[in-house]
Amino acid sequence: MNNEQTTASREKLSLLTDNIGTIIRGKQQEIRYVITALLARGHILLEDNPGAGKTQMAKTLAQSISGALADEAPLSQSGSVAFRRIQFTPDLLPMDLIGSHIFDDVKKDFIFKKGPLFTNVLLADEINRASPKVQSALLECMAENQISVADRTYHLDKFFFTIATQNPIEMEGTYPLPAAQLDRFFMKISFGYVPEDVEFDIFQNYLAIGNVRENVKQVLSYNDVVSLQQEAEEVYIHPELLRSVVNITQSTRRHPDISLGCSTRGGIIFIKCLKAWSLIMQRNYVIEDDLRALAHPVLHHRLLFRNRDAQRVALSQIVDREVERLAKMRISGQ
Amino acid sequence: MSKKPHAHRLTLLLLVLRLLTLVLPTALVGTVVLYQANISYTALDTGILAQAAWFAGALAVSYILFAYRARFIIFTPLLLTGLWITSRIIRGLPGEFDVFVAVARFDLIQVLIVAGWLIGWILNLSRWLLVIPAGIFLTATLASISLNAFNDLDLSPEFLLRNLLPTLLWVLYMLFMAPALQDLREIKGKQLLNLSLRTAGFVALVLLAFFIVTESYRNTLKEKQGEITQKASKEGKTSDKNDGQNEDDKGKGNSPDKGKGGYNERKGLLERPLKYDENGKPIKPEPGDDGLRLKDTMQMDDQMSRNDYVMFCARLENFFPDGMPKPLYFTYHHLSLFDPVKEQFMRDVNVPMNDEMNADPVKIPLYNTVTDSSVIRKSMAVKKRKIIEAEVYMASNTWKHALLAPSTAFSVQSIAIDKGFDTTFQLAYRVKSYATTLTTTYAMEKAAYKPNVAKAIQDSYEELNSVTDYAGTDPAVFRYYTAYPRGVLFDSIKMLAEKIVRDAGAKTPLEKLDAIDQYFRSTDASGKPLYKYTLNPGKKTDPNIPTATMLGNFLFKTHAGYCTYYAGATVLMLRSLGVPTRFTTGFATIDRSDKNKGWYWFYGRQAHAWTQVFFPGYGWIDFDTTVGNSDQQDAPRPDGTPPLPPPRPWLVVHGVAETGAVNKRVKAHFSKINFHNNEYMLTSDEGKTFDVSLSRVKYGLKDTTLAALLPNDSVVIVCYSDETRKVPALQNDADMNAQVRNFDEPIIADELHIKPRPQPAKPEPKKPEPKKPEKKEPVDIPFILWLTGGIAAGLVLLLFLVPVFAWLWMRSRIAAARTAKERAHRIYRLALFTFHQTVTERSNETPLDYARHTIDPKLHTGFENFMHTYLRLKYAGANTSADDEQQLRAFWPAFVQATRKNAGSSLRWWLKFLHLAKAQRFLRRPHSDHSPESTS
Repeated sequence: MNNEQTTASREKLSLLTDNIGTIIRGKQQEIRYVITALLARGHILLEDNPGAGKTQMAKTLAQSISGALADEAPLSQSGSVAFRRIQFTPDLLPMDLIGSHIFDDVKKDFIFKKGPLFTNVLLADEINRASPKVQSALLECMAENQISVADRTYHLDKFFFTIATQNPIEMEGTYPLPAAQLDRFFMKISFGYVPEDVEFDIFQNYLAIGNVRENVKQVLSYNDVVSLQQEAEEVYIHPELLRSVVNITQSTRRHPDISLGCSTRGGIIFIKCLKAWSLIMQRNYVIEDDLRALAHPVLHHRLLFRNRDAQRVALSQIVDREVERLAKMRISGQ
Repeated sequence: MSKKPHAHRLTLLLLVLRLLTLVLPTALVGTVVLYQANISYTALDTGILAQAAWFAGALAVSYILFAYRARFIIFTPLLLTGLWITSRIIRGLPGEFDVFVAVARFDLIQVLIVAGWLIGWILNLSRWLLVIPAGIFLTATLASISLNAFNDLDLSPEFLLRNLLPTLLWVLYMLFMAPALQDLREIKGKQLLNLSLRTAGFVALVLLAFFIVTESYRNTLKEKQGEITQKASKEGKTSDKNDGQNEDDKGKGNSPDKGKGGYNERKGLLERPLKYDENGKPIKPEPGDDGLRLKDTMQMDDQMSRNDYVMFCARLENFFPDGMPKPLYFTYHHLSLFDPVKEQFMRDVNVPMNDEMNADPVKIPLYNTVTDSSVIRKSMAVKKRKIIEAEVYMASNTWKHALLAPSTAFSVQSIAIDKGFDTTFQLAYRVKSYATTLTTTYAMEKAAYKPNVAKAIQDSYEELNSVTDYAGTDPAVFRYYTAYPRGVLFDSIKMLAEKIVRDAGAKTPLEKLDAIDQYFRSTDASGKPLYKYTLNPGKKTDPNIPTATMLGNFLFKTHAGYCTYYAGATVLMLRSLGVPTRFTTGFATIDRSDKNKGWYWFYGRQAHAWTQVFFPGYGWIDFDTTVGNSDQQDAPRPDGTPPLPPPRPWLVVHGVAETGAVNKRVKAHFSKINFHNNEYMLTSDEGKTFDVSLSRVKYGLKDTTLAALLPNDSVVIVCYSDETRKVPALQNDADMNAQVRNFDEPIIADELHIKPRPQPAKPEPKKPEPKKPEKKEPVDIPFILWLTGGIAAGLVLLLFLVPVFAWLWMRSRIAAARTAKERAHRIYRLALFTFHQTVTERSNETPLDYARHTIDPKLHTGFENFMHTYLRLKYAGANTSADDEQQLRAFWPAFVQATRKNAGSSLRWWLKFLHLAKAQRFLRRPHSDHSPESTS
């Protein structure tokens, strides 16, 4: 691996993290998760109570990246990548997302009017309030990166990153996402509330924070993101770590308190995320700590547990055992 | 997964479990310790069970209270206040003596309660505090044992084992088990499994040690067992009569309450001697070797035990001119040396002018005479002496290897015992003594003087009073017998003696002696006797008083003791006044009945100690200063029938049997005979045939039959002079060989004594290869138990050292690493282990987080940087660079230094490695299988 390139990408990544961190304070780990999902070419689901900063997160991320969709002028005035936000409600229809054919008086033909999905960064707010029909429409796009409308298939931009948010499942008026759809999200994280001193800081500076948001620096270009995604794929992963990923997926399937284990796709996503995470952690190789850091956000929402206790500890147990194994493992090679 | 130790509630079940596993063993060990203390200290006599109950009760209550987190600072003052109030109430009770006893008892109970309370508290606290109860128990045990050692009573391995093993096992148990038990937070399958594994480990360790010892000594053990059974079966054949006694003595050592009689010979004058082989193991006594004897050393014991066994009976040919029997004390030994440290009198080998005849009656052949006339010269007596004769019949229960004789014995002849009495008595001898004609030893019967006895005493006193000084006495003798120790106690004894003599105005040695005698018999202001006789002087020593010893107490405080006290005090006082005196042990002769004049019976309780004072010209004269002791006068049983006087043999031959008994005839060759009571050595040896059809046959001391006679046995054949037989007369002028040749054959023999054959040499062990000498040492069970305990302790210690060895091994592996990566890994493991043991355990973190968040903020060792390098080497598949090498080299000694500095000192750093459970958590193998494990 080219060393200079790595140094460059390191700088870019820390710039990006710091930049977002000026707005989203005290959430460095969560910012890293979001960027990880971005670099792994995946999508992320944020589950949290309203007002925890989910939307801010998505906006800041989008504004930090300059550039535009290939075939369209950037929508935002500041020249950042395209950012769209859709508020999901129970009466939302798939059309409202992907767009619809309307009749062109001039051409005397139906033309396709692209919906908000045709963007770089999509914020799907409160995704579990929409009906399953809409949910599945969105998730197909996320999975395939393309939209089929009538007889045509539209490709989305290769930089397409969805940040979906949802309120905790217990809340009223929600349609819980089925496991199959959850599986398509690379990660599911929850922001949680910030600690006391950070919150104090936010309250003290809420105006300044608001101002900063208006002119968030564009620290990365569109091409930078694409190349970083490329670079993340090239991160080295040691065979023993692959073995550990295998062990973890296998263990989730055998664990007596887990009724639905991790799928093979889940494992692949895990590996992708591990690589991206390593890059963010300024490394071009994966280590055992990455397993520990990512197992929960990447794997937990893919599993179905038989009871609450298991939900709390089962995955940690499996991962801890693997991490211990790796910690005691000898170095292979000379 | 809460880590808070006090977050759980103590369940009842758990409490019961801990009471059973922690408190119960402690209470048991406490009971054992109390039991030992009770044996050693007579002051503690409120009953062992009551004491143990108080202790255990306090222990359990305190444990339960503190287990439910009672506050020590509140409850302990409460307890102490309660005790104080109770003690005030008891002290305020009416009555005098009862209160004193009650207070003394309550003080003891208080101590027990407080001890139990504190130990219960400690059991609840940190495991390291267990050192305190362990220390208390061990100290108490050692104190009890050392008291025994000081009294020179019993220090056999069994004794030590019996006393030390419970405490040692407890300490071992606590060391090994208590941490696990205290860590037990809830009763769940896994914890119980761990606990039972640990228990099993403990038991296995002890068993393993036992197994190792028994295995390594199995051969020797077999030999030993074979020997014992062989011996037992042989004895069973040869003597049925003595079976009971043998059983009694078999391999028991002189434990305090052995013997069927149930008497206790530890204290007082008598002892049951044991022989020891070169390894210090007791040897089973030969017949005649066992039995009671007077001790060779005499100290002031806190009590004297007596027994009512007949020791011997004797005929003493000593009468007053009017025919009234004049009993003389039977002397055993003179204990001329005084040891001021132990306050004991003992025998000395370098006595100037030793007039004690050294003879072993058992070894004198029948009807042979042993004479040592030098003792007559050494007795330094010329005036008022005569030769008296006595016959002594030793009972079976008496030690027979030393001479018991009145005054100065100089000639002993072994004699046979008449058939009717040989079950009661086993050995008899006739002794001639050079005795004084003066009368002095009548102290005990002073109240019952008959006029002529009083006159004799008066005359003797006047006679002896003519001695005014010791001019002309051998200076060596004078110096030896007036040697006086120095010290506060002895100075005050000397002052007391001088005061007594001054008050009485005594000038001559006899007057001085009489003054001391009178002092012991004087009365105090209220008319009560100043001194009294007691068998239980007790241990009333007060460490604050320099004279607080048994002797000092006797003279200055209690005024109560038994004969050793009176004789010892008299000897010391007279020596301090410059009068040669010696301490003599033996038996008091008491004339109880007129039925058999001159016959006296001696019971165990008559064992006695008295004073002999030297008067130039008159020699050593017996004096008895012991105050009246009525119970020595009464015999526990009436005097028995004296044995018939042995018939006078005309011929005793000492020879060798040529054949066994054939047709009740025995042919014997001999070169030594006693003919009409004279000894002759023969020059020619033709052998004679004896008719043994009517003979008594004895093998050693036991009766047996003719079948016991084997060819080439050494025999003694005795022929009585019976009126009905034709006995050859002694021809003084003729050659004895010729006389013997003319004896008619067969000679009718009355007694045939077969000398015990030497034990056939032990059959060699079957294995022919030469064994090491130590393999042949007899090994007994206590030794094995000792070794077992030792090895178990060693194994436990080794177990605790395992982490240290692991560390050293891991360190040595660093240098042995072949590649840089391997070295990095080994340094990494060593660092993790070191931090784990000496700083903080890595909980659930990854090593990198552990380095970043736990170790580096504390120690600044650069562990995180090392971890980065290490992880890169491990996972990036990269090769090592020179920088990496340097970093590894720099890191490796640095963290050791840093942790040592953190620990404070090198020793404390090493000590942290002894934490076995912690190390075990680190060294446990990773779960290599991926099968799901049951969640907990």
